[in-house]
Amino acid sequence: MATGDAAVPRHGRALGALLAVAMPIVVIIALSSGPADVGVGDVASVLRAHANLGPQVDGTTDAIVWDMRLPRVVLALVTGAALSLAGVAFQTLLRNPLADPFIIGVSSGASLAASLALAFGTSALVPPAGFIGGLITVYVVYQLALEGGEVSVRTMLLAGVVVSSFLSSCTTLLLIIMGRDMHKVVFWLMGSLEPTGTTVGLLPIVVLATALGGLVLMAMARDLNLLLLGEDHARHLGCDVPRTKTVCFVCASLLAGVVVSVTGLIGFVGLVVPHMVRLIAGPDNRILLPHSAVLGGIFLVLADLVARTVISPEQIPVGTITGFVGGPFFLYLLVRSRRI
Amino acid sequence: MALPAFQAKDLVMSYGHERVLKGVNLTVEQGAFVGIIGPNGAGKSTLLRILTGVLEPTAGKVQLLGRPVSGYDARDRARHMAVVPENPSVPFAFTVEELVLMGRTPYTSLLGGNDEYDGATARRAMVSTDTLHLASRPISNLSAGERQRAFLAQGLAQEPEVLVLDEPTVHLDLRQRMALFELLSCLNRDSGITVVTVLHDINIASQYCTRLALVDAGRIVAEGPPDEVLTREVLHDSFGVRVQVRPDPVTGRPVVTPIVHRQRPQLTGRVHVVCGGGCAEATLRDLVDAGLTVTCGVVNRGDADWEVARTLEVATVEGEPFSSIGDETLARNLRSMKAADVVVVEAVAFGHGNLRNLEAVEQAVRSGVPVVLVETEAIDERDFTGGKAGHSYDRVRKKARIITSRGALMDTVAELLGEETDGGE
Repeated sequence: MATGDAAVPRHGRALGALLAVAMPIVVIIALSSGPADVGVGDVASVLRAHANLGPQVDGTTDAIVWDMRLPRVVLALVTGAALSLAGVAFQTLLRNPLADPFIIGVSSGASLAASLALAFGTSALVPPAGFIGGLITVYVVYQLALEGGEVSVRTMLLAGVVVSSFLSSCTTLLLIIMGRDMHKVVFWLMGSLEPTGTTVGLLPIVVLATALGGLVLMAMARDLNLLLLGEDHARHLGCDVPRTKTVCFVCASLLAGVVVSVTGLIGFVGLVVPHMVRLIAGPDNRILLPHSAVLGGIFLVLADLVARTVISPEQIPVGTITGFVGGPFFLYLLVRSRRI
Repeated sequence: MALPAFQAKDLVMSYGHERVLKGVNLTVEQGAFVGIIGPNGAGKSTLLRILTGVLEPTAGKVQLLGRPVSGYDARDRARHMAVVPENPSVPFAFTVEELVLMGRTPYTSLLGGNDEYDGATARRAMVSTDTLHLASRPISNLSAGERQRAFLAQGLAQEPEVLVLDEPTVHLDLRQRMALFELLSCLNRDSGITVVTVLHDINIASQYCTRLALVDAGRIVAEGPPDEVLTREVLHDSFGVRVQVRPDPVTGRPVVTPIVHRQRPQLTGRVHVVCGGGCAEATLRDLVDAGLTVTCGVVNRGDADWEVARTLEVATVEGEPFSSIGDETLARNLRSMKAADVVVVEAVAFGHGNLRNLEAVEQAVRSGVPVVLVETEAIDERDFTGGKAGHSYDRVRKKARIITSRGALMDTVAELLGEETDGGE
């Protein structure tokens, strides 16, 4: 009765307050860090100037903060939020905390489709291609994992790994045939938030897609809670199961597919972040979804900060950092779930 | 006239070539407490899943409160019917309170939170299922019994008219089973909730359900109050075991006891037993299990030993309840004794009603039939005829084998049967 009697922590409000304070601080730190010497004070001046609250700042500083670093930080925030939201959605659909867009192969599907769009189409086609590629991949992996109407976790993880590695091989081959150098290929496969012309142009679409997917998921949060009790039981509690599942799959694929199409493969964010929020605020999707979005954003801004400063001026792909954190974390969850 | 809670018509369910249900008709009136029983693989759970709208039948129709169950909007249906799952699992650490509040989902709007009424309803549900003290505990840390009650609380928070349970006793110990069914009974009686449950435990079903439906091989083979459904014949046909069915002395509901067959040295011959009042159950069982042809009498209809004899299919010379043995019955009993190789007289109490059994034994002794008297109690203690039985008994005693413990009975009978065979040669 030692641990059994313990009440579970529900500190949603405290976490919310903490995140509300932490986010602007992290953003300002990220904006003021980099090879060029720009201080926190400079960042504040630039932001004030653009909000029409202060005088114009010197051109170089403004360009570094506003044109180079801000899009990158915004992309990190949005990507972290989208990957975390997608993680929560897949974990709910599969009733398993080990699901993550990267692990179940959605990201590599989106990445291949985005590469194809770049090779044979225009950059405007990249986000929709990522969305559709992700959706097709998740459908395939899910069908592979179904054993007699139940999702088999083991098969799901295996199928995800295999599909993922196959699709990544296709992507690599495609990029090499297209004449991309290995450096760029690696950054695409390991994920990067480096703002290129294309990335900055697509940023509004990524923000829009994330907002849309996130809001729809949050509106369904209650039904998603019911799904966690199993499909039959969810139905008995008034959930329209087929509709909820379909919308949830589409939203998760939209979130993961669109960001991956712009950033490349960034793994484990959707695994680590929701798990941490659950530990603090509980598994209720109404609280879990918004908090995971914000924490995911903060997490990826910090990961990217490390990626671009740790061996400055060289950059390493941000997916390497999330992999460093997420890989061991995944193993820890796997071992623990086996013990229960 | 209220609409029936469930009305199933001609349900057929096939998986490939296998027909799991072969035309099931079932009506559950509102306010009933119905148990669905039957052997494993009979189609009980399939029937339940069709009734609750999870499965679409291959053919046939189900109405829930007068409307096709599949025609309901999911939320609307959840306001009328709650289902407690068989072995519920929750992958994340929801607390009991959070789980129970989910039962209010069908009443809340898309973005609306839980209001005061939702909270009060959830609390009431936790109080009545004795889970309030578990409110902030995670489901995953509960025992099976506690988890069952938490899910029941969730169902009650739905404020349903119909409550459906699938094998709710599987993971519960005896005390938890009783507590659960006391609670369901109470909900059924006091709140008028219709309860439909699939059950393995026939005796729990018998004690608590107002009606039973016995499903066997895809059909409902018996349906009605427990004493109509739980009969020896029906249970033997469905479960393939011989059982004893006796009314519970307090509730009057049938109690079903399976008859255990033991390995015994086999004997051949015919034994007549004089018994009554329930003293001969073990003797009759021993003799039947030894492969002997057993008769008994005179035993009054409705007597405990008469029930046992009927269960064991022992030919019985019957008398009318509470009346003396008539000439004709006496003659029949005597014929039965004379046809026997051994007569066993149990340590039965003698009154004026069954005194003539001793008369018959005396005649049997005179015509040379070996008699065994079971004297676990002296005749003086059980003579209620003012000495008449005693005299008669003493006359028998002179020529009979007497045993003072039941353990010696089978050996004595075997010995007498042996002598009989020797004498015949």
